[in-house]
Amino acid sequence: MKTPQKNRQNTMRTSASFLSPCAVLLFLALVAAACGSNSAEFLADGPPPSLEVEYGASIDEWAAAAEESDSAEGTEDAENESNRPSTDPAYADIEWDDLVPEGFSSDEVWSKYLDEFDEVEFGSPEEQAIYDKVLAEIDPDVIDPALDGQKIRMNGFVAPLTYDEDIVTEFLLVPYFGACIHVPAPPSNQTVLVKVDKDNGLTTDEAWGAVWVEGTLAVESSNNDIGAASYAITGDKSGVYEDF
Amino acid sequence: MNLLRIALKSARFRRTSLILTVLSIAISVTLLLGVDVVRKEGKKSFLSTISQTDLIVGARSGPTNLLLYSVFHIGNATNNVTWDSYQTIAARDDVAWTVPLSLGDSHRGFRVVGTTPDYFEFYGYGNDKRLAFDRGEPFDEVYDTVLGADVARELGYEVGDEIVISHGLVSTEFSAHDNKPFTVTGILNKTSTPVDRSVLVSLAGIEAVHIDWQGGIREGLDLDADEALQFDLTPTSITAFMVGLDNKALTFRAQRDINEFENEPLSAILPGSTLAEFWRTISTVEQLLFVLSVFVLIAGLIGMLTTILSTLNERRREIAVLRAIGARPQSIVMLIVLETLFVVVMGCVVGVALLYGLLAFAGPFAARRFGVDIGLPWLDATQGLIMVSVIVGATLISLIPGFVAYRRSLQDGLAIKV
Repeated sequence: MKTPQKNRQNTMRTSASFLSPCAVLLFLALVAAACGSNSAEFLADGPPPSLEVEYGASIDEWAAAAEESDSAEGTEDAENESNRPSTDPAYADIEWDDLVPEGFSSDEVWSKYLDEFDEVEFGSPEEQAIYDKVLAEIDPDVIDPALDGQKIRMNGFVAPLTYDEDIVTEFLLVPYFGACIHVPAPPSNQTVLVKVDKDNGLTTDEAWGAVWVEGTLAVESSNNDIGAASYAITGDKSGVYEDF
Repeated sequence: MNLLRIALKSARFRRTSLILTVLSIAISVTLLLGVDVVRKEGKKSFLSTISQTDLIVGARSGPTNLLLYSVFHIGNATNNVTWDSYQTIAARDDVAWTVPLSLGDSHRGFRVVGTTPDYFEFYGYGNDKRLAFDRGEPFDEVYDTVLGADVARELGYEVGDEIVISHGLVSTEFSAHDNKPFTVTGILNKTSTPVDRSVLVSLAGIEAVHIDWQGGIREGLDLDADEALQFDLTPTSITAFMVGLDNKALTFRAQRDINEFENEPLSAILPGSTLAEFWRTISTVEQLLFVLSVFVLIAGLIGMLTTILSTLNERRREIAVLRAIGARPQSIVMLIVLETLFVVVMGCVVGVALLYGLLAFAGPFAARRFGVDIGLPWLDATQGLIMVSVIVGATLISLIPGFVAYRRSLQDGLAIKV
């Protein structure tokens, strides 16, 4: 069958340019892309991936497990900017051990007594006496006043305290996973109170895993008779910790 | 004459089936958006129920159970905490304040909470909000009571009214402490927390009404209100207590000490952590609901597809006429797509309207039943994305009947053999 001549005049204008098929579908696709770049939160907002990590695990174990499962799945999260702390040199990276002042860490205290342990019999009451001395000397409340006012970045796990709507704005940062629920408590110089504002806070899903916090460390003295001081951070930013 | 106007004019002839299609899309949109809105607002409301409290302590049981009965008044305690243990812990150096709670009675479906006036000072919720009195003042005498906002409003109580509380969670005549009425001294502002649905009395008040109750039933003594006052009304036990510490960094140590308390098996929880833990356990349900909604949407879209395909047959003559006056085959496809686009957009609009209607109407019921306040939130980016996905999905699906119409329009002449 012969096709009609292409240049036969149409008696009807078939479409204004803005209604042409391509334009409409392109517009819809652009809108979808613009909204979709927010990351499909309603799909991703579920329980965190189950890592083979036990309660009591440290940051390194957590990071190793995360790396393993990431490489097993082949996921790449390089573009997710909000999860990486800034490489702002104003913030110094510190470890949990740095929070304990020189000479007071448990390793140092133990090493002072190693000679005494050598001299007594294994399992004797004298050994128990030395053991008690060591434990008494390891003071969980001792803090390093030199850290007061430092801008630092540290990693840890979260025990949420206060929410602003559904964002965690105040939490305790602890060295190992599950400290808030199951395993025995960390000492007070290994428990840091962190306050962030809502824009830089954590969602409840982020708070389940390892997080990093950047902010100013302060040494706060308590107002009771124990006289224990502790660390607090006024956080500038926080986010999910990823091993990099 | 542009395509959109032709599409709309043509749609008018099939308006019944199209209206039904709009409704079915609307319902699936309402469901999808509704699940998302309820989930998010419910979570925010839930997490705001209690704040500024470092620990909650009760007889040993699971953390979720303790949280639910002490804060949400859902469920029951397994045991009480002795007054001695409470005093010992309250006297610790690291404790700044405590507020005891005594549960077990009710008034016409609302839970009665025995506590001290410190409750009004230290109970925090949301973003450091505190309880405030709408009218009246805290309880002072043994038989004084303060009502939460919903209790006063639903039962129509005013300051000065007398109420009778009952033993247990259901108020019946035979379990009522009817010889010891309480006088309302204050009514609290609305908080959108379970406090709104509580009746607050002093610990002495709880002791007084139980003075002649032994083993859960009223014994022969039958003392009246004044006679009860002559007894020592110091409690022997409470149900749970809230704790505020001087230094939050010591929270875990205090929690561990309480969990290992030698005189009595107790549990201490961090409310913030337990709230998050509990919400996480129902996140599976949230995801399931969402998946179900997506299936409802797919069903709605397939229904729409069926409708369009089945009406294509009726429209063969119409399409042939259009072709005859010069419409290109692509325009026929666009006709179908535009009509579908129109239907879906209308469906989304009606769906959103339906959603807000439901939230406005059923929201208060949900608040009363579950203690979570949803309100009328604006739609956020995710919900916008859901709607755009629906529109894009429906438009893409409409290409199928569009293509069928395209093929047929090439084959049909004006004299169609149907």
